[in-house]
Amino acid sequence: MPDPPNRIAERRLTVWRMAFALFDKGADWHGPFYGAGYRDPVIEPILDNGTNPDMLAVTDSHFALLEVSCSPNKDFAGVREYGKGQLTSALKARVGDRPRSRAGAPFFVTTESGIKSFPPDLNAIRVASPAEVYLPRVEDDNLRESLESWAGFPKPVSSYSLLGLPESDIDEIKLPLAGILKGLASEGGVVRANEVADYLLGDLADAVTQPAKTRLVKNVATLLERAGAALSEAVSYDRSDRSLTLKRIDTPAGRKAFSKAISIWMQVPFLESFSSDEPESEDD
Amino acid sequence: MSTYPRTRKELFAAISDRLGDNQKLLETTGKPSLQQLKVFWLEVNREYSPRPAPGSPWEPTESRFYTRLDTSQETQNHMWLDATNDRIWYVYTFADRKFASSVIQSELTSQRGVDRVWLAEDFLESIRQRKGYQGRGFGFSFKGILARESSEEELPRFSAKFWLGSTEPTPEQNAFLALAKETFSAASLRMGRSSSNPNFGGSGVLLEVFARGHMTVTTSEDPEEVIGLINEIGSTYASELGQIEARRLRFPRPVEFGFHTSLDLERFRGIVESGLGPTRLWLQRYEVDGDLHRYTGVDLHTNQLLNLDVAPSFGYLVVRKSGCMNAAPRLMTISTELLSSKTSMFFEGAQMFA
Repeated sequence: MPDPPNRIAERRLTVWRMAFALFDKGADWHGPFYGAGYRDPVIEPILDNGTNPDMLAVTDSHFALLEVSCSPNKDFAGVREYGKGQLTSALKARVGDRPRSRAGAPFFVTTESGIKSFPPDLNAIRVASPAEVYLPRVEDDNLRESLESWAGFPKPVSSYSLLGLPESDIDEIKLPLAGILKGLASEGGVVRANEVADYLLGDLADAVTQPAKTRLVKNVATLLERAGAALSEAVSYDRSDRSLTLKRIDTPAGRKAFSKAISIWMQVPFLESFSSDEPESEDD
Repeated sequence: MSTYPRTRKELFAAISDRLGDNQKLLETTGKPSLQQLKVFWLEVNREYSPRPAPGSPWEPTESRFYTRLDTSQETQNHMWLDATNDRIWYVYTFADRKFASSVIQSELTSQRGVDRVWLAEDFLESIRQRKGYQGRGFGFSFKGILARESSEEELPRFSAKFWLGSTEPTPEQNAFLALAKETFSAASLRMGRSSSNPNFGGSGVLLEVFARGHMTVTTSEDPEEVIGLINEIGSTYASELGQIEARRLRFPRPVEFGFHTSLDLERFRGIVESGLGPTRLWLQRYEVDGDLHRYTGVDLHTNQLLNLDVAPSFGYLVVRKSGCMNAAPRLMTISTELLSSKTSMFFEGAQMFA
């Protein structure tokens, strides 16, 4: 039975975060691409053959292309096309122009199991636990070694700023949006649905085209309209330009009241706190 | 009124005179002066170009230099603000620290884009080592606001300060101090060196640097040394922040915190979701991933949006792409004071500000 849409978006969020973690290093762990010298991947690059992998990362000697997916029954034709593409002049300028060879066939990054049965002209990495790799075509020996010795992430990874994806549905973005509204209310002012969508997309915002954002922006607008009704003491919605005007909330009492209203709207329990706002003192 | 400094040149001449007088007093009486130099470093977000409000007690008396004279009575409560640097402001005063802190909080850090500098324990220690100063003690202060007590008064509190002399502690004393350092992150570090005056056996420099971004100079026989140190701390801090912000622009890498005392996640939620309490975080939990609770919301120090993932023993902070990284050392300091008495902070696997 196919997953309902929200479950797919949630899993896509998870696999994207784990894909970012492949290029990161924590206090007591490091991702296998980081370990092989690949840092700061370019998101959604466009290659010279017009194809559009999810990530590109380079070392001084190699470049690697990655596809991030949680779909186990993917049509791999598009991914194979990445393998024929090269870096454009703009990409070379961005990552530093020097001769580089392919790290191997494109790397398919997924949380799903069953990667060992993937086509032999693709590499695959299962990032969810238990982690596993399928590496029939890797040319960068350092990367192969790093991937083969990788045991997976020892603990949940960071959000990497990703709160939503273009396909996220209303239920998935509701709680993150509540946090964003708290943030915006602390300053007050006007915010448009498109800007809130960018907050949700985090570092993916620049890489997602406006048409691809349409559904997310529409879902955000729907929620902002609902916020206008549910939080009418503090916000008002203007349907003409899909904007929300927020009163500035800058007192403890105001924050408590707004938090309570949000909890009721979100149908989550509001936890009372007795902490005071008194600053801590220091002894001389 | 004209006897008080109104320019940088006059201020630093006055600081030199005062430090000289204080050192003489110490050498002759063995007692430190009560009129000690205090310096506060403030972090300024260039996006907002803040300035002391016109009409406020801060009078511009030179380019990017402000004088705040206390005209109410004959006091030492005068303050000077050097706002030359775009990222770090320097406030100088001989006033009582609590008075100065209160003025800074109400008149400067209350502005959007102005925050304290937050000096993590490793940063304090790196200053001491770089200057070759002896450790002369340390302080810590912890109030466990996540404890499930029924009232504010019942919350667990631990605070102490250790004053050490210039002689090395015994092994037993060192073991005691090491245990305190393992249990609590330092809220301040005292450091100094012996006098170069062969006729005086006391300290030639003695100062205390606080995690909340200020320093008290008990004594100094060389004003240039102290003035240089003040600038060095500010510029090193600005440089580290700038480097991490540049790296953040390229990749949403989190700052990772290690909590040595496990956090009570439900109590944490109760505090940050209501936007009350001294953490000054106003967040919304949006996801639970095993033991990791994910929040998004605002840091009320700056009203900037941030993402914070919190587990009992670790946490991740991701600021927005062009966000201010001062949130990281601030959360570190807040954690050591209120959440987990000992906290570590890493970026890309390396300790930050070390």
